[in-house]
Amino acid sequence: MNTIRRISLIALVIACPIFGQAQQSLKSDPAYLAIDAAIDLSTIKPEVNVNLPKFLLKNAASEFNGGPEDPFGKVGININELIQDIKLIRIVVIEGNKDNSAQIAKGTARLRAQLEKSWMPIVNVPEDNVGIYAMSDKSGEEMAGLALLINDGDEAIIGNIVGNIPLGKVLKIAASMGSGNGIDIEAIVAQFAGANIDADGGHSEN
Amino acid sequence: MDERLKRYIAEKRNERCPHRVLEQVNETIQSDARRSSQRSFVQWIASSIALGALALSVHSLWNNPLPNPAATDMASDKNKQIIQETYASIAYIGHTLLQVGQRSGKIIAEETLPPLQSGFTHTKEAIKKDL
Repeated sequence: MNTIRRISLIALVIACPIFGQAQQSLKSDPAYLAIDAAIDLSTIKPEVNVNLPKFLLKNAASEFNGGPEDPFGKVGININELIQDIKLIRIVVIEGNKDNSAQIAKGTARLRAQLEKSWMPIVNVPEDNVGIYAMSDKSGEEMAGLALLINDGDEAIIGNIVGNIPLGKVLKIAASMGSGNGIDIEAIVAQFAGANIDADGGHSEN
Repeated sequence: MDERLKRYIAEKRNERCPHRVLEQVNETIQSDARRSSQRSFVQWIASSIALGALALSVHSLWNNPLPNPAATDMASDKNKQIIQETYASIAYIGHTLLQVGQRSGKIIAEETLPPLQSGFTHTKEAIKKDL
């Protein structure tokens, strides 16, 4: 009995770091944008906080792939193929006001510095404080991540996709949403669910 | 009784089964016993597995008497929400890319090209004048 207990204890000690490693490995990915470290989302409540790690994406995709409720299928995109190389999708939208604008500005400046340092800007409109950045993997042939940073004072939008996502498919999906002047991400997410996915990957209702 | 018959009976009384035959019988008995004990061990294992499976089934049925349709629906709704949010997030990033691209094009067309064009016209006029 003692032997069994000893073996169980050793297995537990070995297993604990392995479980923790999955989350840790994502955070140590060069294409991971440390949004939570730059902006304290516990004090500045975001309007939208989407945090979709791979296991959630895979789980959902396995249920809806190609089905009548699969929006990707409607535009001819196979969701399983699309998410194959994606490790995380993160979108944070923060409404600016007089109380939080300084903190948001500081946080976005910190993120922008990180992006300017190690990412490649795809499109930058400094006048509007808009930047879209990409990062390639070590081979230089595949995309390692995509980041989006907008802070126009009224609203800060920070997006991060860790992994390889084909830009052609991203644009195809965008085009399917219509050709209006702007997409209101908050409205879209609210329309779909009205829920936030918290920073730790848990899913919580608003 | 005939003397010969008496002698034959006496001989048969003293006769013993050969040692080799006795050994063979003994081995046969032992091997039968071994086989029987092996069979009973296999039977014991099979019965234990069957009983274990039965206990596990009863336990799982006890804990989840019937599939809960509400829980299944909730999980499905959650997955549907994840899919929609994924779609919205990717669409948003794509739309921003398109918008910023269009805006850059507009800036180039409206703010960068006219001065270049006017500079070109100005230079052309100056050259013409010099000639």
